[in-house]
Amino acid sequence: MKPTNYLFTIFLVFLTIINILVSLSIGPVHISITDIVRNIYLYFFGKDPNWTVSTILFYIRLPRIILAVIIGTILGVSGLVTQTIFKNPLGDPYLTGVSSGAAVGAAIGFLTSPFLVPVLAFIFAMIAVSISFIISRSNGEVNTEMLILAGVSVSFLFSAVASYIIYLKITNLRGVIFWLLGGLYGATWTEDYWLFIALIVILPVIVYFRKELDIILIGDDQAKSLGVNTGRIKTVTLLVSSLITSLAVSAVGIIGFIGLVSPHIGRKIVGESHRFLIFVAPLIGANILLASDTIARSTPQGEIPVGIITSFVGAPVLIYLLYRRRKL
Amino acid sequence: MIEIRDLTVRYGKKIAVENLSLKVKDGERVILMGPNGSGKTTLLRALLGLVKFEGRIFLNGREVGALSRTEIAREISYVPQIFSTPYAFTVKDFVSMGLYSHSREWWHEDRRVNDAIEMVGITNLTLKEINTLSGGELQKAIIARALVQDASYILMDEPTAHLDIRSVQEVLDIISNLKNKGIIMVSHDLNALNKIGGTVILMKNGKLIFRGTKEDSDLKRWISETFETNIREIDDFLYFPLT
Repeated sequence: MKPTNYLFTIFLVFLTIINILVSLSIGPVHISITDIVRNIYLYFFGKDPNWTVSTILFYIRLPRIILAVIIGTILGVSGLVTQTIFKNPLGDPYLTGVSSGAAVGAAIGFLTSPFLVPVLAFIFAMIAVSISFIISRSNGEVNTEMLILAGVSVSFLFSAVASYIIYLKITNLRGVIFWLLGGLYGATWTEDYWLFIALIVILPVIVYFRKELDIILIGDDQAKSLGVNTGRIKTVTLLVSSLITSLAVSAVGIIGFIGLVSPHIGRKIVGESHRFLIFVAPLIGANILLASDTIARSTPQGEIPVGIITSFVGAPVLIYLLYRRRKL
Repeated sequence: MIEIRDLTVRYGKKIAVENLSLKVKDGERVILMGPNGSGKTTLLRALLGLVKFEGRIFLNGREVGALSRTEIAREISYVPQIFSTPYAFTVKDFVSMGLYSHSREWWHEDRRVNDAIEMVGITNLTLKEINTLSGGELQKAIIARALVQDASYILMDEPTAHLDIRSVQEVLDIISNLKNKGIIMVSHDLNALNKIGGTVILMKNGKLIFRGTKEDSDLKRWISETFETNIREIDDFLYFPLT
């Protein structure tokens, strides 16, 4: 454990605040950070704020920014759990079939009523995850090797169904493709509120097991011999991370690379132990997604799906990390 | 005391351990030998509750099947065969994992961790990452972790396999100096038998076929029969030939 790990974690909290302020200032109407701080002060202390600026800040930009922070946090922590439990550096939160399940739900939603897209995406994501878990149960506990294969198989199956619906039935292709690539354009305070509630209920469960996640990395037999109930901890952490990822996907679509890259960047800085990584990976996820979304909504072409930006940023980072590993 | 009654372990149709009964007293040192596939590691895994088995195993009077993982870990610690890991935990983090069955607190600064690291002679490696250690260094860290676990018994599965001559001697020295611990050690190394002493158990085809000590006059004959080889050839490999 290094003392700098504390400092870096605190630094990330400050970076998130700065990232939020910068993102608040950027948009069709530029608002300086001084104006933002002044309006926030006036808004909350009952003085007379600039209502045009306040409306842009509190009803247009801030709900979206908060959503980016929450979703980035969810994808960062879920990616970390997936990589640890599967002991696979290429693990991402969608490995258990979440994304393809959600795609089927979304496709059916676009076919019937767009208002149903988030609900159906969540339901089908959970169906896909449940199938993967049921297939991979062995002797009363999740067999992680089986779960990877089950997740891949279920993903192919659901992707085929989603592709069929999209190809043959849906006329609003731009809408569905935008959803599949992920975007935070529909953010509302209500959405933020419910996702925040889900996050503060589920995140402590994962944080609670961070010591066990450390030990599980050493190997199942050793973890068991040290007293860790590996079966229960794997099942609980994977289920809650799949649940929270399903909620995230149902809200904003399939945003790639955040869950994959955030834990890797975190490990490079604070090391392998989940003691800090469990906080650092989600904070990195929040910052990457927030910065990417700020770019996605500020391009000259108008808004583009944020998934394109995260992949543009994430892929080179991943290639760099792989290149470093190859040189070792 | 560890008491095993009529233990049978099956992997599908294959019987790995068959109808084995054994008692190991507190503080007793047992060297478990036998050809590859004779069921030695499976026996250790059964004691740790890692495989399903028929029969009964009691740890200090309590049946293994009725104990939680944590309770088993307080009775038995485990030194597995040398392994490689890509994960960059420091030696201190790794050794401190041994305290898990006693406390879920963050353990790094615990005196027991530092003492164990010192006892196995790797204080200079405390902050080194385990994926950069040599085989001998890692094995010492694993033993330190087992010491921190502070169980009544330590099970060791070929702790000197794949180590160089000097590391073998160092690891055997550490093990032979352990006090007040029951040891069950699987080994193919006859030097371990000489150095650690105590009880010798020979297994073949899942069955216990010999129990004695290294002083037993017919031990050489039993070893020859168990491994289907000539003991004179065995002697040639020893630093300290059998008496």
